[in-house]
Amino acid sequence: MSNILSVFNPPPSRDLSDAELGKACLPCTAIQSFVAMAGGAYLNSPNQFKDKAGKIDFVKHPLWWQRSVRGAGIVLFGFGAYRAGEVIQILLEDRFE
Amino acid sequence: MSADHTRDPCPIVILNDFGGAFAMGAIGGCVWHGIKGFRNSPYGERSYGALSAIKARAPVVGGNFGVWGGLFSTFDCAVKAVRKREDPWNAVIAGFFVGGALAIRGGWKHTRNSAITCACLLGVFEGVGMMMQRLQAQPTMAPQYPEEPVQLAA
Repeated sequence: MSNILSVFNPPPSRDLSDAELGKACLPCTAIQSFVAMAGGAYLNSPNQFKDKAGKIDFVKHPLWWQRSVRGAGIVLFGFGAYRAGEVIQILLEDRFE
Repeated sequence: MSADHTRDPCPIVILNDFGGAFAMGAIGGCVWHGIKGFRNSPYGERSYGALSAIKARAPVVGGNFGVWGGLFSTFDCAVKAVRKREDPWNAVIAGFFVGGALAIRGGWKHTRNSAITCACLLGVFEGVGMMMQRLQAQPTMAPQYPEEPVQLAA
């Protein structure tokens, strides 16, 4: 069942097991790393505040908002880089075991 | 409780949800824009108008649905991984993030309003889903038969 279908037909509440959380799961960690780095890069780019003429509307996007979004982007990118390090760690552990 | 092995693990379920949402949007877009194109075309050109409206607009609707579904599933997986729990709050929190992420280019007010609206909408969907489940799980009442008459001693 998909995550969208589980909105309409919610499963009973429960704590997730370690197996489901995917500890030391290479594809999960690699995808997490990629998505976090791509999302961080997107949030860091200034293009998302510009309109079609290439100008930034400071009423719509005040400085504090731009800085918050970019800060979130930096945090997300850093998280992605951390997860990329974990991917390398899992690969090395698999290689030398 | 044991793990549910009928469900795909998180990285795969995102792709599954993206595809499902895209297909749903594309089919719905075909119906919607087909009718719209048919009605807005002159007599004699109606089927052609419907077809060109479908070709132009249905993939866009599918793409919008797909982006929503993929982002929702991504955030749902992320929230599950952080909270280490599966309950209705996951969908509400994921909906909050999806609404905010999709509206981020519209400014901070648009982002805030969209995030809150999306979270409330998903909360309502979850509530209705739970209510329907509870209604369906009601025990059926056994039919009541009249008591048998007590047999009198001869």
